[in-house]
Amino acid sequence: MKSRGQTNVACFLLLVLAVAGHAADASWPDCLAVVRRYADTMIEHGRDTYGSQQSGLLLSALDRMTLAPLTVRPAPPGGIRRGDRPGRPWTAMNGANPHLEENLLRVFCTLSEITGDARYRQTADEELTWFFSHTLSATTSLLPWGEHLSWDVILDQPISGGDEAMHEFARPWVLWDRCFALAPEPSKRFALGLWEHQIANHQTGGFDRHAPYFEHGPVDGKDFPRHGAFYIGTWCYAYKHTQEDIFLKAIETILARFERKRVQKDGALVATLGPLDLEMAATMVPDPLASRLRAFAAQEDALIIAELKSQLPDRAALSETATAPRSLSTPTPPKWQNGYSSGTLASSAMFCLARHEQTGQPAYRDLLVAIADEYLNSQPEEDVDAWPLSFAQAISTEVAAHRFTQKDVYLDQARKFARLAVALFWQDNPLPRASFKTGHYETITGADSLALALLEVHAVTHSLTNRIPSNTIDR
Amino acid sequence: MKTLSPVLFVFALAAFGAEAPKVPVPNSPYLGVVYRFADALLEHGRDTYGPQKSGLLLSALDRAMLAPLTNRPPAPAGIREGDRVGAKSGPLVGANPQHDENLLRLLYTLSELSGQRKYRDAAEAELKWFLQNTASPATHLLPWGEHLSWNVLADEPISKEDRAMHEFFRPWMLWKKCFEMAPEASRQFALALWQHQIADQITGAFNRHAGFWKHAAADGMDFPRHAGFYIRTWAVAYAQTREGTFLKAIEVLLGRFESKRHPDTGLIESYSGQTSAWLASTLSLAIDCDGAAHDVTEPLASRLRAFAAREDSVFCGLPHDLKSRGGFVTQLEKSTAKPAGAVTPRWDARYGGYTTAQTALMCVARYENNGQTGYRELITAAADSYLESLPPEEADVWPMTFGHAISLQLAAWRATARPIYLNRARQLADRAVAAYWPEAAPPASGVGPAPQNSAKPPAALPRASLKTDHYETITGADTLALALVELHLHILHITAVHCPANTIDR
Repeated sequence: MKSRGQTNVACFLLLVLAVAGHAADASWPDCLAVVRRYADTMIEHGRDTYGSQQSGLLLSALDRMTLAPLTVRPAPPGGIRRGDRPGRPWTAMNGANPHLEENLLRVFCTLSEITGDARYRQTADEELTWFFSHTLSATTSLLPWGEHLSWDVILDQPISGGDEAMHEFARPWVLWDRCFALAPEPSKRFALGLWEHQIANHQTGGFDRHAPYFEHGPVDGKDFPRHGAFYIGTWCYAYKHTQEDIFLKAIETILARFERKRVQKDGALVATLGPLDLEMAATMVPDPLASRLRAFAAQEDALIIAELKSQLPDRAALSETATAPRSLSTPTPPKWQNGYSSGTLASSAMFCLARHEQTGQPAYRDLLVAIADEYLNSQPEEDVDAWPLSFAQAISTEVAAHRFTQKDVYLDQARKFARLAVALFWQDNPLPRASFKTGHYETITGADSLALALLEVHAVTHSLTNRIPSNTIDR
Repeated sequence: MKTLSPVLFVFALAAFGAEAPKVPVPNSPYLGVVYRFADALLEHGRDTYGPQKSGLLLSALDRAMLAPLTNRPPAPAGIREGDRVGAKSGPLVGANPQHDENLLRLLYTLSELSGQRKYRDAAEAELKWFLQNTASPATHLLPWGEHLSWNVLADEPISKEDRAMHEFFRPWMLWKKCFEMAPEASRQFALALWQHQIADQITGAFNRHAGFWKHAAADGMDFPRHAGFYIRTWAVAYAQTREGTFLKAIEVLLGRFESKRHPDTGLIESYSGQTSAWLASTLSLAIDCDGAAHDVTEPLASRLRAFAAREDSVFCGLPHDLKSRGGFVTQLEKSTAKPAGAVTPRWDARYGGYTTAQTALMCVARYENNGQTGYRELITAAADSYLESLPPEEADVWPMTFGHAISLQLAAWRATARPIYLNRARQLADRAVAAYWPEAAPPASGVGPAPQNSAKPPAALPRASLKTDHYETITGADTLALALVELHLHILHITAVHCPANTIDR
């Protein structure tokens, strides 16, 4: 008798066989079918039904052969660090990390809108509700998620991928409205925990992107600007939903810190927090803080656009505006090889898209189109252990370039990438694999972002009016 | 699900307060063996002889003396005398970078792992010196590969005879590094390959043998795998120089092999005039075509990819009998696709033959670039065939064969997450270390480089085969060392360091 997993795989094989006959057909693959099957499989086989607490959380890694939790810690995808994976070191990887599922949760909500099937959104809501209601540290109110922590669905307790239990954001959390709607008190507690236990010095805003989860112990150390922006992106929602002044103070403190830090010893300015989270925060807080945030973001633009231009191999393509000074020239990022703390060229395009959506600045549109051009006819280099995320961002770049220019070449390229990505990552399985060189499912490499990109292709192909979330949060 | 009540919420907060139990770091003793090997070579295995101290790594050494061989020890089983790094009947005193290719790739990796430049410096010095000093004045071909090497004592190519033949030993994956180190010499070699290896620049006819000292390109044994080696060379040369000649060269050779494909079976003759097809040779060509596609412009890139894709469907569609016989089909009648030879052996490596693991690693090269599940099935079936298999006691097994078996198990582990493959890789590695470094202390100690200025490390070099006692890289000591590093990185889940794919013995 076949297990449910085997049946599911068999169904997917039939689907693949059915579409294989149309491989030459430009409509292949049916991106919605691929994403929906992925979501259905996660709902059926990828939720926490283990241990004493069956939380319903989505597992962040699975055995694709058995559609069940891994009994081992599988070979890591290229560029993934040991301590960042959703599981305890050297043993079975059984973590659930909503930060790594963030785009999957957004995909679920979008699927409900597109298909009319409410259970996708319900699954996402259940994840948020349970996670916020059950996993906050009793001491720090921080959550076991992000770069190093996750929730072990077998042991029913927070775990770290490394030696120490350190709280650190993996990417910005853009689901705060939903979290406050579903779990208002824990959401507020987390936002407060971030101020009280992540920020070491409430006068200077000194912090380290690492803070102990189990006990108070923030230090003033590696205050990476992007993390400062993630905190601001949290506190603005907390203020919006609670109107508590403490969150304004927290924002102001971090903003002031980086207003000081952006000025170098020689008077030159450097980009720090980035404009995205600040611009968003400005829509939720009162003046004069809102104006300060907007002004800061505007100045970041000038600095960042110059740097982005200097990254492009063909800088002449952007000659209508001044190219970057020589000192700002930076190496062109790789097109396909992702790694810890190193994104691809398309990830820059996603930043441009996000900022263009906020401000409509033509420079960002032009940069994105230039990057889309770089990806035309490109494929991952030989022996690169490419991630789903690399394809996700390349696809979303081409879709956005098509939207900006209405040129078919970009949509054609997006479809080519989608076709390639489905063939390479899904293969004969309802779940995508973690990378070219691995065979298991693990969302740290951006399976969720790829699913979101496939929905974009589906939406533009079928002229859907549903709003697909921007694939811009992998930063 | 519902939101918890405040009381339950507080209870839930108190439910955990400590970290989960920790699991010890797994043991990985293999890197120490590799560092000792590399350190011994850097200290004792480079050319400091004759008037020109080239710094080239010797491709054979006396393991006990850590010095050049003064004799010609019996050859490992399956090795032809003419392929060894010494003049006919003379001592093995040659340096052949193609025999040491995986060692050179490994040295780059060791520098990444250790942070010590000396390994990379040695590799780069070898590439630079060899390219700039050894090319034939007449043909610009290099004294390396299947039959030639550089005599480190006499400071000249090993074969001074007119009929000295240039032939690739395996694909050269270091062209990008070569163009960095010696751009003009690299370009000249690539051009020479077109002018002096290819006999007919209209039809692309060639022989895998070509004159080294003077132009002597013939139309003869045009093995598909060699076409792939040339195409890869020219693709990088094009990417580095943008000279149209290299695109033309690729086009001519690709066209030749496109037209050789049988319309019904899709098979390609083993070489001109033959009715049989050698599968490993055409699969190797496919790997190089796909690799080359990254470096050339359209529409040639798409043609190269299409050629590789056609080969994929042919190879994966064949009745390989890994389950019951443990081997891949090796040879077929071109027009009927009827099997015409034995299946690949597991352990019996020899000139012109491929073991099961060696062939499976070609499948790995394809699978990890195109994701076709047909290859995954072949990889796991091949790995399965080594789960219980060990060489017969009388077999003179090469280190390369163990290296392939280990890397195959690791590829199966990556693809399936089944721990049985990782465990088997460890078992095979333990056995290989004991077999090829028989006098070495158990490799359970440190994983870092050997301390500086240490005494001569005993038995730092692996022996050439189970029945020989000298060091000679033609049997793949480098490939075994690369497999051991690959295993180490897998055991400790290290990804910050790039380990080159162990798939080039083809």
